[in-house]
Amino acid sequence: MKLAWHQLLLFSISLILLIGIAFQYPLTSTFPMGGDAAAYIIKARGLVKHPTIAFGVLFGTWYPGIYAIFAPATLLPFVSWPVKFMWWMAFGQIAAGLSLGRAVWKTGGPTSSALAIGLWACTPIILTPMFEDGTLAQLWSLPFLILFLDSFIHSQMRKASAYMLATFATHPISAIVVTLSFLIAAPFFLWRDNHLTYNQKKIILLSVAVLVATLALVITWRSEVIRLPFIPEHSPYSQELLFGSFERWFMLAIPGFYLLCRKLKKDTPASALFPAFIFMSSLLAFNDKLGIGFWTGRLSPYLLIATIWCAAYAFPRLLHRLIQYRAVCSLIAITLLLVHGFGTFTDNQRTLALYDSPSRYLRTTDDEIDAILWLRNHTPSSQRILTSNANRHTEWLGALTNIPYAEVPDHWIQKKLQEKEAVPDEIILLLKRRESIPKELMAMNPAIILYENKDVVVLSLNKLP
Amino acid sequence: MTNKAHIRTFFVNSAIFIIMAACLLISIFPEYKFLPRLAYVIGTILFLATVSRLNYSLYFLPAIILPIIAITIGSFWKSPVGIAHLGISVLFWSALYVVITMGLEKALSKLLAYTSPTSPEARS
Repeated sequence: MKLAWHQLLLFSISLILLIGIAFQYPLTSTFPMGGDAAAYIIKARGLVKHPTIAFGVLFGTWYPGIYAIFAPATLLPFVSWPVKFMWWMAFGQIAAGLSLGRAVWKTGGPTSSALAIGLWACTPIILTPMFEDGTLAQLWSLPFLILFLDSFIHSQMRKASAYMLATFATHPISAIVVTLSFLIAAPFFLWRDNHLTYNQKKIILLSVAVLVATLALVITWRSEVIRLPFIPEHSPYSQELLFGSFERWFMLAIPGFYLLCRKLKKDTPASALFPAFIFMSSLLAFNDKLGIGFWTGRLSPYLLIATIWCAAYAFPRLLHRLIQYRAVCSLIAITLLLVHGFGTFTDNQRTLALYDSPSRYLRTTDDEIDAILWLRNHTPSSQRILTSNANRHTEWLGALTNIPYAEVPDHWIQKKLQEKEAVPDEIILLLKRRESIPKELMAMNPAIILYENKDVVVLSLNKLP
Repeated sequence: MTNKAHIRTFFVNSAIFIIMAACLLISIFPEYKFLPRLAYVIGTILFLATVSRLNYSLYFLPAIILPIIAITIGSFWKSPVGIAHLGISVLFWSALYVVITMGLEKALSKLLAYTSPTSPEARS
């Protein structure tokens, strides 16, 4: 298909925004922001240690697919794991944007597709929690989720099944959203939709049976899921979507949703899936408004995808009714994207600088990293480290070193220090953020201090007289 | 083009103009949101009233209206049971979505059969 010059320009701008804003994270940050990053790196490093460890990593996780995606990072020499992690986050953001562009192209054409890519480009940090939380798996599950919706709507059942499995393998939350949308839409496919063939309906019926059985098994076997403790949270992302910089696109998405429903009902067999997805993603994104507040921030990107899809579909169609020249429509889209993209870039720059600023570190500080690297270089393999679980920064011990370590509650360590309970080959690592530092003990016995800087102290009770 | 078609086109174009203008104004003047929002609501209602057909609104209306009702009820009644309530809420509203959409579809097919020129009801 030959694109007009203005469509090519729109595509170029969208792709520049997508790549530029995604790469802004690894290019301007020196260390990952998210608390989950260390956990991913620890497991990814395990993949190349020994086949049995790799087997344990892949079968002992909720998302084995992401380790398959992250595995090539083990082959990259001379690049540190934190840097690799940030680049993989950026690649995930780009993959999700391109998948959305592909899906929107099939329903709405090139202008809508380019706009969808450009709008997705403007979402990181301000509208999605993935970069800040370090949820690599959820970010990488989005391309599969989008491609599943796209393939299923166009009744490419084999492709849809493959993408569904990939979504399951990469992240359970995305898989649940997809499954629930599919189950809600299934009665319409089976009893109402006359466009689907007998074989396609048979596959759908089989999938419904398998999914219902799987959900029942998970709820029976892992009944703790129902009693999972959580702190109710409001989502800043859904607020931003409704009332912030994205409000104009959310407004446009509602007429877009109607137009898309009309188009899908006319042209595609399995059109009931998309409205079901929108319905489900709305319920989950606003579950704090239902009086629950379960992972509200993490559940909002699905509604964002639906919003972008609908808004990108609506924009050229509505504008073309008012302005006959398609080039003018594209130029207006370019202007809006540039304004929005520049705003996102500036906002992200501020947030990333805040995380990376030595005066107000929100991520693991340089002193903490220095202490961990000092331990890596100066700790004999026979020794193990005891540290507190009062904050998550000590997880980087496992990501940056091979030293065995144990995280215990802070009051256990305090008790050990008070009772001067020395264990052979044990080193105590204390971060000064939340843990209590035994200043008196250190003043009376300076020999126990193995290493100290502004943020960290490393002690050995074996040095006590 | 008939007069009716002209009037319809005028309303559709006006609705689209109001929607696009509201989106633009809310971007330019984010501190004055009330009037653009009001204009947007009027524009959207006008747009849907002139453009939408019952047949195509079957999935659209429940998917838009039910979450709004759920959120409104949720703002009055708070859950005491944590995550289980999320599951129950999702199941309940999903079942309602399916029932309402199927009910609408059935009602529409009956209506179409009734108003079809070949149906005995329409002929009598």
